[in-house]
Amino acid sequence: MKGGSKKKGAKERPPSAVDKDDEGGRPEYIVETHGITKRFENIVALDDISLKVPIGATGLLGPNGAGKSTLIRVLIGLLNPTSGGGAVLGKDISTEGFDIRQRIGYLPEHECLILDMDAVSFCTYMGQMVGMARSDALQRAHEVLHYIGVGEERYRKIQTYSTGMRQKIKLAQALVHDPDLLLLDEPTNGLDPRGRDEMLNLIWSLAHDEKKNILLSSHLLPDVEYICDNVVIMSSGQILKQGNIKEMLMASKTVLSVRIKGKPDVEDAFIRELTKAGLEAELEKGGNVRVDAGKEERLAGAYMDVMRAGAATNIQVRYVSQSARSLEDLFLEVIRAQEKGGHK
Amino acid sequence: MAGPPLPVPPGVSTSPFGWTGIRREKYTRWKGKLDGRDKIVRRMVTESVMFNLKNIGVVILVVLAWLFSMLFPVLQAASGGLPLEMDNPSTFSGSEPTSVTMHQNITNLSVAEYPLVGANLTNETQFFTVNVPMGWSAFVNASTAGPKVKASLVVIPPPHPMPFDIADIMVQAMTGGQRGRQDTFTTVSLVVPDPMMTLSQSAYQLEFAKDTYTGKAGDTVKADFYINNTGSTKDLYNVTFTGMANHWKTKAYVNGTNVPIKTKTVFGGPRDYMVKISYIQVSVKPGSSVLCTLEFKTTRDSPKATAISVGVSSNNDRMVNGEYVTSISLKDTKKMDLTGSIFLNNVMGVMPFFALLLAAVVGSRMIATDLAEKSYNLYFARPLTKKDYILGKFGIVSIILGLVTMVPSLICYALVLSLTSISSTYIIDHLWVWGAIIGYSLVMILTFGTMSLAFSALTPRRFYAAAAVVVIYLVTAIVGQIATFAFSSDYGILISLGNDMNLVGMVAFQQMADVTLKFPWYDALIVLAVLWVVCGFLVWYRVDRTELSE
Repeated sequence: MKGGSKKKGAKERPPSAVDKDDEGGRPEYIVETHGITKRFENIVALDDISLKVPIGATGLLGPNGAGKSTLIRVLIGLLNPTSGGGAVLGKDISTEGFDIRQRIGYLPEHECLILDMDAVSFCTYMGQMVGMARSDALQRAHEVLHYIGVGEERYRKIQTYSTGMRQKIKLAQALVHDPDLLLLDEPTNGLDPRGRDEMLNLIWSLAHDEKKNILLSSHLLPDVEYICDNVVIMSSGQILKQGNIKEMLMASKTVLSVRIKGKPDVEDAFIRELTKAGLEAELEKGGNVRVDAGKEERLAGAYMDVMRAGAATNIQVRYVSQSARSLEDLFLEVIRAQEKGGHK
Repeated sequence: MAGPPLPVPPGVSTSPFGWTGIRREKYTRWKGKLDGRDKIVRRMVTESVMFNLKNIGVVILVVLAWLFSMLFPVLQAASGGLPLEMDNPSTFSGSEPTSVTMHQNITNLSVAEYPLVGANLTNETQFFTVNVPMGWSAFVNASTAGPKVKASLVVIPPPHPMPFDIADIMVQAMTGGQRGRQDTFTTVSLVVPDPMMTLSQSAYQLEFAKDTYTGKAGDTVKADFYINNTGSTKDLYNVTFTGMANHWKTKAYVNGTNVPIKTKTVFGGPRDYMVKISYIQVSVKPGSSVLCTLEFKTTRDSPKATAISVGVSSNNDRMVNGEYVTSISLKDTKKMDLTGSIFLNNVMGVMPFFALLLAAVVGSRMIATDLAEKSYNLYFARPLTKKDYILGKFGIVSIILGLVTMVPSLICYALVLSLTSISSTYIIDHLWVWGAIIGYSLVMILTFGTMSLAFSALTPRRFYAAAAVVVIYLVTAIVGQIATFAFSSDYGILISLGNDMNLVGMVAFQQMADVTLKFPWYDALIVLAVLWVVCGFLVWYRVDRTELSE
């Protein structure tokens, strides 16, 4: 069962470069941006992105083309924003890209491994590419490969590895210099269920046992829900929602799901009755009606209002239950809201 | 040290290392120092070079390059047989005969003996080589007279020679005293007359002045000869003379009257480049003869041995339309310096070939592999700029190419210097050789390095990039050759990258004295520099537009 070790993993976050800034004022957020806009000629890839990613594990959710990769490129200083600015690990993204890239570990979505190399040589090389001395990088490569579970096969060429193994090597190269922030782009892409579980457990362990700061970019909502404490939902270059996952899902506890039965086309009348009662109601796919009480203290009254509306419209209310929203529901909700123009 | 156990999903059995196969060692923190960009680029180059040198194909190419370039010169030097400098083989002293007689037509087709005058033969001369055309026979008669040798050539024509048959018989002498020395001291051209056209034969005789030439500026040497028209019609004779470097001033006289000297450029000469030929035309009435005088004056000290060839041909008479060529060799003030020639042609002669192969094998994969495997994602997400990346990649190719060009050449020269008995003056006078080796190697490295990186950046398929490097190199060579012939212009040479590099090498190794081109040598360098810039731009353009997670 995923997350089984969450309780055991509760320990203090080890000291890191982020903590070094304590003396001069530790940054409250590992990533902080103010109105970042990035234009490519006529295309607005990022539109006024103001972001605050707290210490810990944060998911970056969004459909393809949402601007996640562009945001990552801007954050690590590879692209200059058209306007706006920000900081990663307390370093300015416009002027201190070098320092930022030295303190992050990046796991790209696509293939990126040098297939002719063995895992040890590759991780050693990647360690050196970030500024480690060869001897340090070699020792560290062994430690990291050991940690992620690559045994004697580390001396085999990467081209002989399975997809799962390759994904682990990608994680190892990101960890080799013990970065203060891990940027993981679709880390479970292409993995079979067991490989996916292995990878998720490793990342979970890094986030919660080792207290690594992680920014996990993914379109797989269960992965983000499992690993991350916080989420940033993006679409069309805009931030649609950001915050603590638990709090966001808690906010959805004011929602009731109502199943009704009656003459055809009476749902509208039922929804009108609920609206008169001051509730937000809308018809969902499958015929259920979604009713939002707005506040938790109004929830009990909302039950009564539902029953009254049923009686008034001669509709059988067959099932009323508090809605158990997942992150997926939340994601779809904010995406739909954006499509309707509800979000900027 | 084992950390807390990882969660075990239902239905998955545990292994000795836990269900995931992970040896759950504790994640350890790392507190070391991270170095800056300069060291990162240096490590990128070092690691990649070491990685490439683990490739057996690369190692074989490097070893072969070292063997082909170094083995024979070093062994020769060790055995005392590598002549870095030698006496001019054509040098003769004033006491020796300096007149060379051109033996003209054979009138009787029987065995005839012709004295080999003008040859610098001593009793050290051990071997004669006589090259004769098919059907002909010839041998050398030699007799010792004190320290000198008198020699003559005995020619035996074939039993039934064809009319107009021209027999160029070349005699070479090998001298035992200076190992490896080979002197070609005279050429005798024999023409079989047409029995039906005896009256139309022309005859002439070249008489060169006695040696008064010391190789100093202002020295003059004259060639006097008569052209006899023994035919029945008026004939126009072309007198050509070649071999003079630019510092030679030539005057021509016909019966004592100064005549203008014309020039024309023909394909040929050393390395098949265009050479300039000077000539005069002399009209001779039938039954009469004219005295021709060619006066060669050097305007500065002769830097090396000079051979001037004079030929006479007739416009009308095929009998004298052959290569009636003789030559005189002039005394040199310096020893003949073979260092440049040895290093350009022998030591470094094979290097463009190996550099081309290594550029195809190593250079072509530099960026293509990163594009194919998308490993640029990892480079650019690290503290490296795109400029660092390109310079690093070029550094890797440069070092690998340097291993088959600059390194073996420098080592070879150092070994040759240490193994050869040469004076300290030679070492000081030849400091330029170090520079020439480095310069020529850099030209090869830049050419093959930038070209292979450019093709590597243009395609993610390394095989295509490798093929493109080889094909472009060969195509430019072929097109250059065709253009040279088709347009009778040596500008075609510039098209060939190999020729361009070779020309720069010839300049670096001081081998341009005998070469006359219609363009200055640095045009070849300009062509190469344009190639370097274009290739560099292509690499930059491609890498600059390669974005993370493309």
